Amino acid sequence: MTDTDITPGDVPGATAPVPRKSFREARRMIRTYSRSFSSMLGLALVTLFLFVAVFGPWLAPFPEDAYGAVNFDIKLQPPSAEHWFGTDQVGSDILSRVLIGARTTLQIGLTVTGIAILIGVPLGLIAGMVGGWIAETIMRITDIFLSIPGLILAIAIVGALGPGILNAMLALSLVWWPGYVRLVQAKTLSLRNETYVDAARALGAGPFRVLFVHVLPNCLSPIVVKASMDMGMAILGAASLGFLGLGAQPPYPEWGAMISTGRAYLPDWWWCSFFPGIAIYLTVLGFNLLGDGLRDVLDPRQR
Amino acid sequence: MLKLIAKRMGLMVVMLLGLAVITFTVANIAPGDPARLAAGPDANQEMVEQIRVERGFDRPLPVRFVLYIEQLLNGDFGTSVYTGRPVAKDIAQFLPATVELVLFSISIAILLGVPLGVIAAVRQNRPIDHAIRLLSVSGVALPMFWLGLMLQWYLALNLDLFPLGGRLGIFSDVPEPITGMISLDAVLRGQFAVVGEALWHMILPATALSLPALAAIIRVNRAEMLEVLGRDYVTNARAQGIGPWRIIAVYSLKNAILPTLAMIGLRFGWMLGGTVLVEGVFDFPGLGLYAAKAAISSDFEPIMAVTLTLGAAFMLINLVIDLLYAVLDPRVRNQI
Amino acid sequence: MDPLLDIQNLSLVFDTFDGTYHAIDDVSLSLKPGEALGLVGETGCGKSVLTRAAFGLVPSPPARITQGSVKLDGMELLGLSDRALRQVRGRQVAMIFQDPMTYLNPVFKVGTQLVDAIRAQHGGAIDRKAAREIALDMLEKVHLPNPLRQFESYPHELSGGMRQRILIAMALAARPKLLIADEPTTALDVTIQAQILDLMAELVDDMNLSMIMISHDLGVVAQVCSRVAVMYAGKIVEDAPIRDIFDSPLHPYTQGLLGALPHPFRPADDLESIPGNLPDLLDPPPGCRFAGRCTYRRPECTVPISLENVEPGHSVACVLRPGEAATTDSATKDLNHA
Repeated sequence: MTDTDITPGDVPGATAPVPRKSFREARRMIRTYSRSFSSMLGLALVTLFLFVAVFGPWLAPFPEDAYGAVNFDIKLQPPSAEHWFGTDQVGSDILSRVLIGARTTLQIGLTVTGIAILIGVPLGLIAGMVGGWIAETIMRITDIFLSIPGLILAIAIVGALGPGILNAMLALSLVWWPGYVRLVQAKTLSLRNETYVDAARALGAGPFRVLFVHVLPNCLSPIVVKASMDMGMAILGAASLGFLGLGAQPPYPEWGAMISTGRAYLPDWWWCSFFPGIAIYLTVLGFNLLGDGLRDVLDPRQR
Repeated sequence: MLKLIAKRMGLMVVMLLGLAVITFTVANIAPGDPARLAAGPDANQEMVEQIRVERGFDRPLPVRFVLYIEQLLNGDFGTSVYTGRPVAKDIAQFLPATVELVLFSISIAILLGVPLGVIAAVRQNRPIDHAIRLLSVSGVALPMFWLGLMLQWYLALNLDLFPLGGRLGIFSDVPEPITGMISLDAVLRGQFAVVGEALWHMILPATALSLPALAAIIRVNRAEMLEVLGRDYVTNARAQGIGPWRIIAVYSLKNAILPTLAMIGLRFGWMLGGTVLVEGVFDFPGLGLYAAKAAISSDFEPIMAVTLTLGAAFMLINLVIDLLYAVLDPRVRNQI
Repeated sequence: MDPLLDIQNLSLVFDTFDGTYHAIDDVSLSLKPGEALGLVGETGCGKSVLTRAAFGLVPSPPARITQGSVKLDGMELLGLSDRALRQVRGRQVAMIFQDPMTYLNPVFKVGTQLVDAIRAQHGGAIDRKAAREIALDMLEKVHLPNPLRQFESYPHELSGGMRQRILIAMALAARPKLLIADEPTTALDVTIQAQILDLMAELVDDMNLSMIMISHDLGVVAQVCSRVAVMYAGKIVEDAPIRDIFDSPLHPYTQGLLGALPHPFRPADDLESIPGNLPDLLDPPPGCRFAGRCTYRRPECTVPISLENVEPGHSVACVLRPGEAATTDSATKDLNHA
């Protein structure tokens, strides 16, 4: 090749300070992200969801309805100006219950994803960095976990622990971590063979330095992307357990459990199960679109 | 090829053993008395003690694990408190319905998902691509149990277009079981009216069950097609003057289908789990409904047995996918 | 004699997120029947895009041809339907590409791909059996050992040289008038490279082919071609017989390319590199595009300049005239210390 044979010293500006470059990089990322309609829609939905999760009790017109208030004289009323989403079989305002349920949903999503990351990422790093029989054992256990449909295993665990929202969260966390092990292990392995990591090791960098300076920062992007997607999937999983009666128990305002209760009133009083379902859909959609958008920006090669 | 099958079978045995370790562990992390769990909530102390001795719950853990494996190998999955029958018998009864439903659903997902993914890729960023993307983005986010309920409410209850649930109408002749899958049995017995009716009953549950898989298949296949269409060998085929239809449907798709196949396998497995949600909605008497009922009544041994069964089924699917990979990709075939 | 291929004032842009990328700018090039032309330039100069665009192989969008005409044997190609272009590509123009691995479909047998291509070249007018005969005949022509066995092989089972021979066979099976060879030997070992170049020279003679060989390596081009066009940043800067290019290069960029060529009597560490990079084609300079890297830069270089005939068969797009510039040797020396 005739071009490209230039050393950085030849070109003024090539030695510009690093922070400036990363600032430009960030601006480019924000520009790429904001150009995509679906990514922005995802961001908007997630922002709305977080807003409702934080301020739900103040937004809700009848906050006491979320905690078991009973008004039999206004039960099963269709959507109206006063009760936008209608009322359920004990006369609770469904809009209030949906709004306040957002906080539960957020808690579930954060807990499940958080625990999964706390278990999965260290195991993945160990498997990728150490190798040998330790890595082999970790990966085989991961494979076995991945070979069971997650929902079934979660149901089995809840079955053993007993129904309830805490047990449901625990069960989901216990089936969620293997994905992170796979992700981080693969990334670590590929990084370990990169020339610059080799070079760092040749220069005497210890395993911890290699881990924290070279490997972990590079694993961050895919973890963030997966975590965003998993927030949505964990919320879906918790709602499924709630629907089966294994998660949150009525009258606790959890969306899946609300759909389950509303099911008995279906043909005529459809709003009881319709609106909580929409809430789940929009939330999960938001986190998925956000994850998609983040992937396009942070991790463009991975699809 | 035979060597590959043998190797994968060996691996599967190891994985099954690991699966048994997991179910055994789950069964034993339960707070409280495993004998009481196995006996069910209504059992008295005497019955609990009898079960404790019968099933070896009074022995140390390693011994109990060996016993557990021994029982599994003998096809003994314990007894269901809820049905009062051996779990193995229940599974044998309910599994075919689930297999039938899942096969029907995955067929829908593949037959729609692959072409839609191709169309979206070929018409990238055109209106049809956006419409398909809307479908695929929604499909992953919709709770399938809710979708099932809404379909049932609107199409079956309001418009009366489809049956509410079940596998067949009450007055239909159930074909003499051969495989236990009604539509297949009806074909084998020549009762063709029943075939249609059985499929008709499966449409709504299969729609709900297949939507997430459909969405995922579209996504992967679209992305892979886009990638393959930009590859050099496609440019070369175009340079030779080969027609666009052949380039897309044969030259490109055979390459793009390989990663899609992995997604199909994964979603196949998740569908097995999804039956727990959807079968309940449509009162479809399969393994999923059985597991859901067992789970809420804390009927422990059926849940563990269903977990094992579906896990094994998932492994079997993965084995089939691996073999298909080897059939379709000469590079994989040669590595073996 | 009428030219076989006649490209006039062709311009092509890519519409990207960051703006309009001027990949090809007002390029004219013609080729006589039986002539072998080398199209030379560094990576990204537009030489591959030029030849692909001429035959409708650049996807649009993002690409857009803004002006010009491409005539093959007197027939205008721009604006032809996809179907008509496909016939041109299959039968009259054949192409072979750089990396023989990536240009064969990995999941189909070599034979299947050959037969498909040959049937497409004939517009489906022949059956698989006849196509197979032609394919085996062609494999023999490109000196592929054991053609019957290779026929049943998958691409990954063959070496790079064998794959390139197969691609050449595929391209020439239709007995085209024009062969476009896009860096056909770059990805191969040096010894295989020589064999493939020999084969191409032999086939050009035997089959009375015209050829455009795209390369970044003047040395490779010199082995097969009689004429060279040098491209830089989307423009042709010099077009001359191969002798003239080596003996009296006029454009400073051509001189730079020659300086980058290894020579048996020169130590390798004396090789030149041309400092600087391609200009930003999102916003190209109005005048000579090489001016930013040129040691002979003058004020008038900012004025647009076109190819002009300075000697019979030798045109150049530069304000320098023969004799004005220093000889190759001193030019490269200057570049060396720039």
